[in-house]
Amino acid sequence: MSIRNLTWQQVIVSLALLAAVVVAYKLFGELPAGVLLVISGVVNLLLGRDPPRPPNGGNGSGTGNGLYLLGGSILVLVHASTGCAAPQTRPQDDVELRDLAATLSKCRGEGRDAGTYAAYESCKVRELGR
Amino acid sequence: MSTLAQILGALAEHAELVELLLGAIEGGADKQSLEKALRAAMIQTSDAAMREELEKP
Repeated sequence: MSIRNLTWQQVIVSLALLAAVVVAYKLFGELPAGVLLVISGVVNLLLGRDPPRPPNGGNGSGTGNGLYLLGGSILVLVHASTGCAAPQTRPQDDVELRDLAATLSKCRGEGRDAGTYAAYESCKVRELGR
Repeated sequence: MSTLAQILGALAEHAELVELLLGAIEGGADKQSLEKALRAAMIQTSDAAMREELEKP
């Protein structure tokens, strides 16, 4: 069974899936579960389709094998991307900047409650060490 | 998809900042120095706002 037996629609959808994986990875620095779910669903739809029957009335058996290979390759790429290639520092950095914003907000609240800049400053020193 | 829309919306809304960041990166600024500058800017802005709010006569 070769890839030549795929319909052009199946090839286009498969290429679109690969493009979706690349775009999602570039955007998020990782592949979110939702993207994986959508991709898995579309791959399953592809695999679940009735294979096109040849004009001579045969059963078209074996046509699905190419899809299994293609779908499997996509899933392997997906797992390889999430397991090996995702940068580990970017999400942590985002969280740290968000933590800083939350800490500053908390200290502003303490300063407002006390009504003094010193209260804000002491909270900042306590929370941030500066 | 909502996350994607949120990102695209933020990029459109803060296009000038994105250009600024891209210019800084092209100019050789690395991620750590950018993060350090962002932290300093956040603290400086917060300090200024609190001084304005709490130290007014």
